Parts: sequence; C-alpha cells; structure tokens
Amino acid sequence: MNQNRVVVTGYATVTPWAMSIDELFENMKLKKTAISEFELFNDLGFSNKSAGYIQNYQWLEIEKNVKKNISKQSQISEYTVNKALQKSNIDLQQFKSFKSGLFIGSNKCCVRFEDLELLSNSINKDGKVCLDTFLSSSKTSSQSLRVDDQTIHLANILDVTDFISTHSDACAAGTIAIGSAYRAIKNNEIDIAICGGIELMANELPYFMFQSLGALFDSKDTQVGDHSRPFMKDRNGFVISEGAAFLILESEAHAKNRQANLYGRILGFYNHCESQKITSSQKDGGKYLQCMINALKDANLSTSEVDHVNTHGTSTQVNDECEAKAMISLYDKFLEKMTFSANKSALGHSLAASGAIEAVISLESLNQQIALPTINYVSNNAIYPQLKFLENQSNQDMNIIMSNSFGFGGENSSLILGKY
Amino acid sequence: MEKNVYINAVSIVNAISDNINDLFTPKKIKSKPLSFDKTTNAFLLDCNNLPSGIYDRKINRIIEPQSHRMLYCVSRLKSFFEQNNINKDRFGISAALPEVDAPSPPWDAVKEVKKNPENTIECLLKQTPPMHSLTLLNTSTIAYIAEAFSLYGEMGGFCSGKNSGIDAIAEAFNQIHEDRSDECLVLSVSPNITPAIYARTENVEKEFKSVIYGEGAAALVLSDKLTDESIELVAYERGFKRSCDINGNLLFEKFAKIVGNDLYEKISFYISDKPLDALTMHSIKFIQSTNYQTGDLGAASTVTDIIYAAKKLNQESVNFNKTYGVIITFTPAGHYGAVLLSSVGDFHE
Repeated sequence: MNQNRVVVTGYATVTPWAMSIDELFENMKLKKTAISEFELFNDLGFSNKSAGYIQNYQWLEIEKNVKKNISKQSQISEYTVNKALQKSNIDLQQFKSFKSGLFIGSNKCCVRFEDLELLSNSINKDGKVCLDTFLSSSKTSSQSLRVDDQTIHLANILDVTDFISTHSDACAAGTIAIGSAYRAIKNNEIDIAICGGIELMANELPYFMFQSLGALFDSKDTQVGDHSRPFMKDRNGFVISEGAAFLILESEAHAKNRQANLYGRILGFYNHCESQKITSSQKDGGKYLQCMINALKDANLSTSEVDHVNTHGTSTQVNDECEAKAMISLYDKFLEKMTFSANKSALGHSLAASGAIEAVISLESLNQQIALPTINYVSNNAIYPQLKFLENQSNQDMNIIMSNSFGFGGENSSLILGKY
Repeated sequence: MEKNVYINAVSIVNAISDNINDLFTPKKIKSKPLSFDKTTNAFLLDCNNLPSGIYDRKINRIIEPQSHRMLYCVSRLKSFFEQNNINKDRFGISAALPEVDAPSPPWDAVKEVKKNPENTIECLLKQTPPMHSLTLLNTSTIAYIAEAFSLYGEMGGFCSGKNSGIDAIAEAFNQIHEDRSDECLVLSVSPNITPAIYARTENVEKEFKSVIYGEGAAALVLSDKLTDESIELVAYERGFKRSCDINGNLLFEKFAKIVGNDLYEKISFYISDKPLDALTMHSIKFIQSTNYQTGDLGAASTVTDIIYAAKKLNQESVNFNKTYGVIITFTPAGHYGAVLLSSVGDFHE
C-alpha cells in the first residue's frame, strides 16, 4: 500500500489568557503563567484556588465570531478551527470540496452545581421527576450536552462527510486524535483532516473529582503561579486547566497541489494500554519507554535524531517520575545534546486539549527554532537534573520533537513531529 | 502487511438474555416504567454481581451501573483469555462508551440538592460512593478490564452516542488489518438511563419519547487467527450526513471493490433499524435491528447487531457456502455506518 507523507498546513489555539498561538508562544517565552486564582474555587472554599481558565474577555471575543445559541465547547471549537483554517489559507467552500475528516479529543461535559439546583426544581413532592419540566429546564444545562457536541457542530458547518470521530482517551485524547488523523491520511483514507482537542473542565466537579484522587496540587503556602512544578522535587499535583487546539493535516501531495504553506510534518505515532492501576504507571517507566520507542519506530527514526521532547509533565509524583526514568533510559548518551520542556508548568493540565496544545507549541518551536522554558524549573532542585529542562528560552537547531501524553487509566501516546 | 480480520469470541448482556441464541427466539418481555418517571418505559437490566477472581475486588462496591454492565459482559470472555495463547503486547482494546454521569449519577445528587439546597457540595459528596470518582473518565473503566486481562496493546475510546460502536469496530479492524495488533477486544455499553439521557436525545431528535431505551453491553474479540467458529469481518464503511443515496450504492462502493460487482447477489441479509429501499430492490432479506427486542442500547447497539449477524452467518454456513451479511446503522445526529461480515466457506471445506 502506498503511504502518504503527512504535513501540517495550519494550527491554532485558545488557552487561558491567550487567543492565539502567537500570543501563547510569546507569553511562554517570557515565562508568563496562565494559571491564576479562580474566583469560583475561592467562593466555594476550595483549599487550592489555582486554575487555568478561559477568561471572560476571551469568551466575549469568541462569541463575537461564532454562531450564537450553541454550547461553549462548540463555540471555542468553531473559533479555533476557523483560525486554523485561516492559517491554512482554506475557505469554507474550498474545504467542503475536499475528502476530509474530523478527529476531536474530548472527555466530558461537566455538570455545574447551578445545573443541579436548577434541575432539582423538576422534582415533585413525592420525589418523582416531571420529565417535561426537567427537559424544559435542562435545555441550557450541561446535562443536555453530548461529549461529541462540538464534533457534530463542526461536521455540520464544515460539511465533513467522510470521517468524524470523537476520542475520549483521558489526558491522551488530543494526541490520539492527531495520531488517528495522521494514520487516516497516511493510509490514503482522506486527503485532509482537522484534528485536535478541546476540554472545558476548569469547574467545580472536576476539581472535586481530581482532588479526591489526590491528583491536584494542594498547598496553601505558595503563589498560584508556582503551583505547577513538573519534574521538581517539591511538586505535588497538577493544576486543572482548559482550552482548545486544532491542527490542519494534509497529505503532502494534496498540500503541494494547492500551494499551501507547510509548517511541519507528523512523522510517527504510537499509543497503547498500560494495564496498571488507574492512576499509576509501571514504576520504572517501562511502559512509557515502550510507547516512545514504538513511536520512533513508526517514524523510522533513531533515538539520536530527536532534538527535543515536549513532555507530558503533569507535576504529579507518579507521572513525572515514570516519564523521567523512561526518557533517561531511552535517550541515555544523547541526553547532553537534547532539551526538554513541560508546557503544563505555565498552562496547567487541560486533559483532552493538552496533547493538542502541546503539539501546536512544538510545531511553533520547530518553526521559530526556539525551545521554551519550563516555568518553576530550577535545575538544582529537579528530580533528574540530567534532563535538560530550560529555565529560559533558547534559540537552537531543532528538526525533530517528540510530544508525549499519558492518560489516566494507562492510555499512553507519543507523537513525533518534524520540521518541514 | 494487510491481514484478514475474524470475530472469534463474543459476549452480550441485555434485558432479554446474556445468550445470543435467545435473540433468535425472543422471550416476550415488556419494557418497564422508569423509577424516576412512571410514564416512560425502558428495558431495564438487573446485572449480576461481578464474578470473583477477575477484577480488583473493591470494584463491586464502587462501580456505577454503566461500568458494571461492561465489566460483567467482558467477564464472560474469561475462558477465551484462559484458553488461548494470546500475545498480550499485541492485544488491543477499542471501546464504545457513553458519557459517564460522574461523579455520582447526577440525578441522585439533584434529589439531594432538592432536600438540602443550602449544602450543594455536601449533597454531592454524600451521593458519591467511595472511590466512585475513579469512573470520571471513560478510560478508567477500560483500565479495569485491561488490568484484569493484562492487555498491553493499542487502545482507543470513542464517545459519540450510538455511533461509537462503528468507531470502535473500525479502530479494532484497522489495528489488526494494518498489523498493529494481533487481536483486539471491542467493548461497548449502553448509557445509564437517567433523566439526562432524555435531554441529550431531545437535542438531536425531537421525537425522543418514541425511543425506548434499554440497558446492556456487548463485547467481541477481533483476531487475525482463523478458527472453526470464525466469522470474517470483511470491511466497514462510515460517514456523516451524506444524504445522497445513503442507503444505496455509495454506501457499498468500498464493499463492491472487495466482494465484486455482484455484491448484492452475494449478500444474504442486512440488519438495520428500518428497511432500505435500495436493498429491498435487490431482494436482500431485511432483519430488524436487535434494538427492537432489547431497547435502544446506544453505544452497544451496533456491536450487539454484529454479534447477532455473526451468529446467523454461522447458522447459515452449514452447507459450506460463503454467505455475507451487512449491519447498517444510522444515528439521529447524522452518522451512518455499515459492516460487512462473511462466513468462511472455504475453511469449512
């Protein structure tokens, strides 16, 4: 079977405090954090008030540019996809003529406390539900949303007919969506794909749920911007966040035929199931290592050819330890010439969106030849100082970046991105 | 290397039975009124306790109903995993999952809020069983199964209502066909029947009250190994809102390339929610989806229909003739899909 080379012709992000990848990249170069104190968490009396959340001014900007009366997850998705298509120089009519696919990572539509209060009004005095009252009061509630709400919305406005899928793979969902799109183009099923992830989980129930798992940062004694500390000895959990990122992938022939700008390549991908306890991983990092090795194998690359790793780096005890061990084992004698980054130090953890956001940041790094700093990283207090995380941005030659995402439930994935 | 893909083990559980043969001679069971709304009926399932010795024993007391159904269904494949020499590193998982109404089934929380509106957080906490929040993400449920059977291959979870079934089948098929896996466990389960499901349905289908939901799960093992009982999964097709000729030639273009231009003559039957004009024209036998018996199983619908079709092909292949069956699905949101199965006639000769 003839296999296509897969190129990236557009991408866009919306993340807390940044409406574009340009703004996000500039902020990260300057070590600006997107994590701030969340008024809602403060009002609810949560012990840790930090979150990365889309600001009200951002929602106003999004709402000006997209359809009204649709869910927030569809609004932010439509906005971000439009920006990615603009970067790709594709208009809507042109896109509709392509053999296309839509691959979106998304996990949950989270119920809010206010939804529960509203819905409680539909219970009668006998404790039974009036379904009609419930349905009329739930129209604007997140209970009435499907996880694939944004996928259906985008498929309808973009007229995608060939291939649409919604990937619910926890923290790896965005990366797996990109990997699945890469495979569909590589195997000639489609010519072009919109792929990425979206997650709006910076609210009270996910906080409660992750807190009960012991996964969130929990300390009252530090500034919110210091809470996410991947690969540091004093890390103690992740900071919940949200956002969206989408990429336009095409077969090289299709992109060249329409004289598209080429911003990079997807060279390889692998994902697998770890089969450990839900919130833990093989302690020696062996399964993460296997995932990274197989992604390189898919890309037909050797370890020595990787210049930089955009780590999953959640700032939890288990993930960072396992990922660090796996990277040390894999890169071994090449560590000296490599650099590493952990974007969640600045952005927090946006679950399904995180892998897609990190893939876009990696592509921007390849295009600008700039490796980003990891906020809160101090080498003399790091768990494994031989992994060269940067305290400040660095101009350097980079051709190949590996981007990792490791999900709750042991769903591991690695993506290999290349400079075009 | 492109490999052939076979169905080698199956398990179902629904309100009718946990034996596929019972769907061929259905018991006359009636849908029952819902506990929260006596005017609306559904096919409800009292799932047995999980068998001991497979899953972490804490699971029985912490798991919510949807995950319980799926774990129970997969537990019935235990003998397959015990009796076959499987390569665990190349055994994938592909799951069709509805959204879990976490952290607790919200309706319980809503009722608590009604009783005690001043203490919303406390109400939620009270309604959340110990460790129940582990079911927060769909992958958590998949992880219970992966851990139980030590499966380390590729993994995919899909969440798009009834369409998830075709997505999970497509992922599993591709894993094997493209030689990324030797075998793949396909999981699927119906959503929990809470008021929320009706709200979600209403968003895409105005005639929501005509839908009678059911509770159930279905699982199968796709494999590159041919056995006496194998049914081949020849190909699949899927798409979204291609309204032109949705039930005709366009849908079967890919199948015709594989089977030949006399495709319609080779197909013995098709299973769908409703008869399709283009296939009726070709005198292909129509079989109503098993949803008609079990209630709408959402994400588990397609896999249940595939298992039913596989059993039927097995029954029909006693004369050593290769026969084909097609399963066709549509969703109110606009997805469609088709799966082509065949008996393995040559092998029996």
